[in-house]
Amino acid sequence: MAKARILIVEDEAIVAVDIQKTLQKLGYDVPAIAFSGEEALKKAEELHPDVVLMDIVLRGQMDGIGAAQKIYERFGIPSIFMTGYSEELLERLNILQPLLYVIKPVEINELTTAIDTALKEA
Amino acid sequence: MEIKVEGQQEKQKITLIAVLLAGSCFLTYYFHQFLQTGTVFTHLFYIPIILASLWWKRKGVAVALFLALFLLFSDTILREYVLTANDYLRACMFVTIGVAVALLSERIAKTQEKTAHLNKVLYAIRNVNQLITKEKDRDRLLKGACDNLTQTRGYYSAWIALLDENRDVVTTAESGLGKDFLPMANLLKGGTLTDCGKKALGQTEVVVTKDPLSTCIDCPLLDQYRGRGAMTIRLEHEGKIYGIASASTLIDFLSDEEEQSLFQEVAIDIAFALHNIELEEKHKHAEEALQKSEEKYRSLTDDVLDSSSVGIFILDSDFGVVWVNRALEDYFDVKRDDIIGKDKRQLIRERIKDIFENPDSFAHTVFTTYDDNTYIERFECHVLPYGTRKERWLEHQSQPIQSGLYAGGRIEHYYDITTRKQAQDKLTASLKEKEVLLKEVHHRVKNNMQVISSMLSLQSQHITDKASLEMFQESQNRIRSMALIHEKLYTSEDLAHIDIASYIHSLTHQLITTYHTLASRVNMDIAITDIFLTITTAIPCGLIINELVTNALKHAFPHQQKGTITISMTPSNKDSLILTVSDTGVGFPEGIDFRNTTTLGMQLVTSLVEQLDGTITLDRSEGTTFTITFRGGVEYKRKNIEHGKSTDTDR
Repeated sequence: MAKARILIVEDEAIVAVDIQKTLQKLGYDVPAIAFSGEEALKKAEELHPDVVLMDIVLRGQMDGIGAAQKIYERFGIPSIFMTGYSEELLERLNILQPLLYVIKPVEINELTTAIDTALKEA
Repeated sequence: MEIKVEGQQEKQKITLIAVLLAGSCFLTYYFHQFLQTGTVFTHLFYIPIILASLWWKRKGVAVALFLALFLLFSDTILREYVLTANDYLRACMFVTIGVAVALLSERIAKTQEKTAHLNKVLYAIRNVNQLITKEKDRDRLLKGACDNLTQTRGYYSAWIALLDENRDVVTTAESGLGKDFLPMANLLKGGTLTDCGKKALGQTEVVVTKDPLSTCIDCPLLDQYRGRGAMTIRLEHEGKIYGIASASTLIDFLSDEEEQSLFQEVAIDIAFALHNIELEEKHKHAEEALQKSEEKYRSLTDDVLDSSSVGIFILDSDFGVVWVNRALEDYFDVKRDDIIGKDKRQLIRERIKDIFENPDSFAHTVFTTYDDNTYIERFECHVLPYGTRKERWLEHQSQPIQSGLYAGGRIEHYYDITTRKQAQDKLTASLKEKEVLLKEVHHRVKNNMQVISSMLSLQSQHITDKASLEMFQESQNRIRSMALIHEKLYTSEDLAHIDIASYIHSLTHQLITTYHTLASRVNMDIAITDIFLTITTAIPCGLIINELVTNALKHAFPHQQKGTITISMTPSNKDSLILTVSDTGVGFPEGIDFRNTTTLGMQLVTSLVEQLDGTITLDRSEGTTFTITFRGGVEYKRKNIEHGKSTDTDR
């Protein structure tokens, strides 16, 4: 089975590239990085990833939660949130099902577990 | 009419006397001429004699004389034979009777005249007394008294001069003199008293001037006193002399004691009236002065109240509004006249709905103090703008009125705190802005550290050497332990202090994920509550824990060994903290001085402990226990209580 395709949405390029390289090393297909919610929607439509790795704080009007909701509604693609420890956003995240998140800075072990769960649920 | 009647009577009298005289003459002639004998029947002669003497008094005696002479004449002429002594005797009798009757009649007339005069005087006194009870104006009283004395013709003229304490004439009044009194008035006002006046001031009795024409040559009223005399008396009541009164009357009456005592009575009555008027005036003046001072006081109070920028309600003990000042009218856009006298509770019920932002809470608070007889302290209320009413923040207070007219009532103050409130809001906003900024800075710092961590991660992807890879991993962990501090700061309420327990939980979670192979067999026990550190302490402290826990994870549990890592932080004395990191693992290798190792981790721990002015000890008796004591070098907080020295925190 081919490894899943993942879209990374993260406004810090270096952090995003780090995650991209790490995931690629593990065999995942990470074709693109989006830096804003709007860009994420566009790229999700173009690339049809299996799962989106979504930062919550983004540049532009849309935040990660809004972007994830739209992507799920339009394309049925689940998102894994990358969040800090005590983000109050966790409460808002609760409204999203399925809720998947990893604590930032992202540990690769945690991340792969989350991706596997996301793919299974989907 | 009366004169006419008198004239007619006079004619009748003359006619009657003439007839009687004619009869008497005829009788004499008849006896002397025709009878020649006997004595003249003279009894009838007495009728005209008595009547004439009665009617015309002394003048009437002429009738008696006439008849006497006629009898003697007739006797001499007509009776030649006899000259009787009888007729001489009779003639003498006529004259005697005539004179006696005339004198008697004169006396009766004088008594009658005097009685009539006294009656007039009494009548005048009565009128004066009546006037006294009614008249409250001094000048009108004096003029009225003079008028009364002359109107009944008791006196020909009367005048009164009022004197002050210095015996200077204040005012004069007269009656029966008119223009002729002017020179007298001027003289009196010029400071000169008449002789009779001067004399009267020195005695209680009436001064009688019987013959002004010869004794009072300088008196300006001299011409008015022809045929009359004067009575002058001081007006005195209870030792106080108010002035002098003078009246003119017939010289005949002057010596009469009754006359004098009546005049004295009038003077006493007038003086008494003057005394009463003076009392009343004094009373009135006192009252006016009191009223004036009250008005002054009242207007002063009103001015003070009105000039105050504090809105003021004054309530009586029944919560009726007694007064509101201008500031209050302005604050609530109400009119004083609409409010004063009204019930405050009712006003609150009817009016406040549109005035306050929270009318119900206002009413409840105020009514509670009314019902419980308590007072409001610093109750803030928000007045909403409407029409000419401005938006305001008012601080409401009330206090009891302890004494005076409204004792038992209360004063309610409304302080305008709008400016303070606005400044406060501004300050709060500014503080909020700074907080947001500070959070953003911490967020930025955390992000930058994550970027550095990611750079190290990217760099390490090309490394195959396990030892080097581990070094990169450890560096990443150190950076993350610092980044975590910033994250904790910007997500917490308190931007200055970090909840160390929450931090250590996150930190150890991170570490154990990194060394994920240990996650299932190494237990983390964190025994810290209630300690908050500042950022300057928290970062080195976090790094120390990071190193010691990393050390334990790497070395304490080889060969699938299970165990527990315990981290605790407890305050020991007032300003010292004890941090212990222990594990139940294989123990720190014997013979190795942890202060002198070549490993970077332990070097960092030693340096950071020194930086925080602490001491570190190692106990190898059971696993490994590092105990670090920070004495006064650490500022920490427990449930809002500050500890430690702030002077050392900037190190």
